[in-house]
Amino acid sequence: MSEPDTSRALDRGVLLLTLLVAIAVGLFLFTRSVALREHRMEIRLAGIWYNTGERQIGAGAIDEAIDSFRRAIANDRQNRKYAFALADALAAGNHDQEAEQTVLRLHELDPANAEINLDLARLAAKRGDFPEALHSYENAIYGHWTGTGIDERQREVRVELVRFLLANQQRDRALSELLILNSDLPEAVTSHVEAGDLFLQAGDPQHGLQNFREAIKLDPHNPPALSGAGEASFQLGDYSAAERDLEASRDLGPLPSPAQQTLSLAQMVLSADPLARGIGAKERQQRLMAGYQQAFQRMQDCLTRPSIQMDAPDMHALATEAATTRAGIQGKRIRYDPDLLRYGLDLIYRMETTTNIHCGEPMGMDEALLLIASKRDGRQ
Amino acid sequence: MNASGLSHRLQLRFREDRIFLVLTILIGVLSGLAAVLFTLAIKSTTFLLFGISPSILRLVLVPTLMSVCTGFLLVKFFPEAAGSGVPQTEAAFHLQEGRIPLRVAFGKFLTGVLCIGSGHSMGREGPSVQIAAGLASAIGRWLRLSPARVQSLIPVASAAALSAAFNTPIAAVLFALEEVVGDMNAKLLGSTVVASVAAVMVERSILGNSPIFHVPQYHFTHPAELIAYAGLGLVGGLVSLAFSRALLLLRALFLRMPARTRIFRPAMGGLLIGVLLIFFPQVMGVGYEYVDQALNGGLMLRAMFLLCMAKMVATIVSYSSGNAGGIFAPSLYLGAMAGGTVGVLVHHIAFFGASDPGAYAMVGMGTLFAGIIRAPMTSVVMIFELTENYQVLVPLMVANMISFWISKKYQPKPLYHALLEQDHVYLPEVGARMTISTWRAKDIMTRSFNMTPPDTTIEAASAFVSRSGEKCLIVGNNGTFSGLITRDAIDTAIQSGMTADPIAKFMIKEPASVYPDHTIGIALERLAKSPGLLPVLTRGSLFHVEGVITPQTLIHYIERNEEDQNR
Repeated sequence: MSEPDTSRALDRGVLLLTLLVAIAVGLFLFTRSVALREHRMEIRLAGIWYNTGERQIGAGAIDEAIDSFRRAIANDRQNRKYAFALADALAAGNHDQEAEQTVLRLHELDPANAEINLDLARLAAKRGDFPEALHSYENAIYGHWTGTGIDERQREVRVELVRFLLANQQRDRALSELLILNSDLPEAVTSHVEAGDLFLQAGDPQHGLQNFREAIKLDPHNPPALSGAGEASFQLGDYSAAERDLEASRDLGPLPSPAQQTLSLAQMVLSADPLARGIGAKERQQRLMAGYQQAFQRMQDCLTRPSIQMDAPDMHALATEAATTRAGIQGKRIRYDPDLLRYGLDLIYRMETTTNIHCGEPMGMDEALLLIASKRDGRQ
Repeated sequence: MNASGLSHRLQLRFREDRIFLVLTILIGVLSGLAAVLFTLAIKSTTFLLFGISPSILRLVLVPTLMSVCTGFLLVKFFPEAAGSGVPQTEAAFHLQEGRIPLRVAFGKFLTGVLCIGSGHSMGREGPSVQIAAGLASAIGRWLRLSPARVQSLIPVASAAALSAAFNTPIAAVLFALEEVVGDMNAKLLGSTVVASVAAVMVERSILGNSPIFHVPQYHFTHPAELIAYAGLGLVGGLVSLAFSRALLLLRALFLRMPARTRIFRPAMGGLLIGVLLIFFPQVMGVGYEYVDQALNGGLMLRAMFLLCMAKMVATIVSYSSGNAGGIFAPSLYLGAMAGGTVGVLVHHIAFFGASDPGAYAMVGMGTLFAGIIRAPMTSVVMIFELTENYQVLVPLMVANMISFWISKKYQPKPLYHALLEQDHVYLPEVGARMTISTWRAKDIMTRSFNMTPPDTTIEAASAFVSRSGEKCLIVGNNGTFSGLITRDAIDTAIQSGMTADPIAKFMIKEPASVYPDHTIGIALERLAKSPGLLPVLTRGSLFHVEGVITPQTLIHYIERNEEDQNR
């Protein structure tokens, strides 16, 4: 081919290439529009499968729901709602490993997402991985939240974390979280009652009582708030307040069994306390004597057990002491001698605690006596 | 040639190169668009034909009736469009100088969409490769490119199509070189990379940047686990072998049927597939969503085992009955299921902390690919591209090597080639292609040559050529090269009465030459431009002749090489 021919061929090539570029652009636009239409159809299909899955979950058909959510994801991978639904369904179907894989994939895409971290925390908690669960709960609380009601959802996660910590005997950590929670509680009865319950479980009846009182302020006839306040007062040694609140709660509806027991115990404490205000000297002596006899009898019963007889020198010594001082306690002098009264109470306390060591925890009146003695002795 | 002529030719050459570069990008874009459109068309067709929740009747009728339709199209209009597309593209590259009629590309698109969209268990990658190669070939011929240029567009388009269809641009380049060209050192590397990148950009700009699979994080937990991966390699090799043998056997049976049944064969396959879909709807079409589930631990042991078996049967039936679709995706599906099955078993019995079954599924994909497709390098890079994790490489290579070895040992002919041979098309062996493309000038040249001093008279030189019968002499002193003188030049000088003049006066001062490391392609090109003798010069010293290449030395070398191979 001569040079002009070659040049012409190249010019033709350039022309044809330009035409091809135009065709490519046109084809690109066409393909893109087809892809968009296809995408919209997939989004619609995904929605249909998701709704089907939700219905199946509602009907308890977990495996079918898992399949539906998978189909939803296959059609729309970008929608995290479907992946969350799948993860939840998998967890509900005890496919924990796969559920975790699903959530981990989401986590890779958005490591700061609060809800993803929450799901990871729950799965870690389910498999008993305490450090991982704690880490993920914290990431969830301080993570990136989207949507509405963020404060409320954050609080719920913190409550969940506190329950998780309490379930794992981490009272101190639970208490720190509770104090943070307490500083930001909304003015709602349920929130205060919930916080109060958690404080009680974490061993902080003072903050618990504060929350129950707040709840009562908002709703004076709220049974859980009243019984919670009663329980907190009882733990703080304020048996009168405990009796009052628990009775108020009982008046509104039947008390749960533990609250009923607390009320009985509070009533026993109040009726048996020799140092209670507003009672006469004679009543005081009678209460002391009744307590003494109760504690002494329990100790004697304990001593009669074959395993204890030879093996409890402290109880034998205490029994001897109690027997020798019995006359003094029964005498009228005790009505005017506060030291003797205190000695009597101390004796009751020592008898009950020593019996505890050898024969187990007291119940009923013995428990009440122990509470009275320890309270008056400043031991509580 | 004068200076301005040379400058003009260089300019033209430069423009031609630039046009080819633009064309490469354009082929990449068009191939990517074709592959994306093919994928979208398959999805739409599947939805159109099956809806959301197909009834049993629909599951049976759709593949059967659509296969009647595709059978007619394949027999009457597009006979070259049946099957995968990769072996046909290889054949076009090696045997037809890259000529693929545009009709084939169109037919492949249409029949591929109908077959895969109607539930046949086949892949979209192979057809995408053939469609793109057909487009590239047509464009190349339309632009009146040389046959060599048209041929070079075939791997370029193949890489681009695979890159867009499977979203692994590096593996796509390797596949084009390893499988289609059969030479990893091909000089087409640059063009294929450019086209592959262009195609993947197009694909991502249309379909988004989400990967084809959600691959779990891979952790290699214990060195002893390599034993488990070796076991996976063994299983993969056996499954590959079973798949390849059964496919070839059933296809041979179909081909032995009377010619008048050709049109109905795809429908026979369609009916079988329809029945299978009632029990295993998961084997429908490409099936990547189930591969994804296997990778992420979403399938139980029994499910993965059964799906492996069902997919194998479905793919063998679909392919051997003459439908249009590939085995690239089915090999990955089989690998994921087989790997997942091995992974769960390892998890149950291993004394060491084994990786998740999903990791085995992932390695299994590469293992089956290496065993069935016989492209081990592509399989390693492909899985690496999917996982983006170095830790997967060693287990993958162990499993791949074993699978590849078993498959090659008991099925020496690669599946793609064996399929072509069933159609009476015989490709050159990969080894042979590799050999010729790796020949160098230093291998072909002879060190035994005569050098004539430049001051030798024309008369003496004439006497020498008459005696020796040589058509060309090397002019130089003590190994220092000056030029060449031809017999014709000597005769012309004698006729002009210049017998006493030195030959230096008539010699070619800057003849065509090569360096010892130049490929046979360059050597042949330059030998054609030389007067029948091509000096091989040392790179360290341009005036030192190491040897010479003549047509005779080339023939001797080919003869020697053939003897060596026969031995």
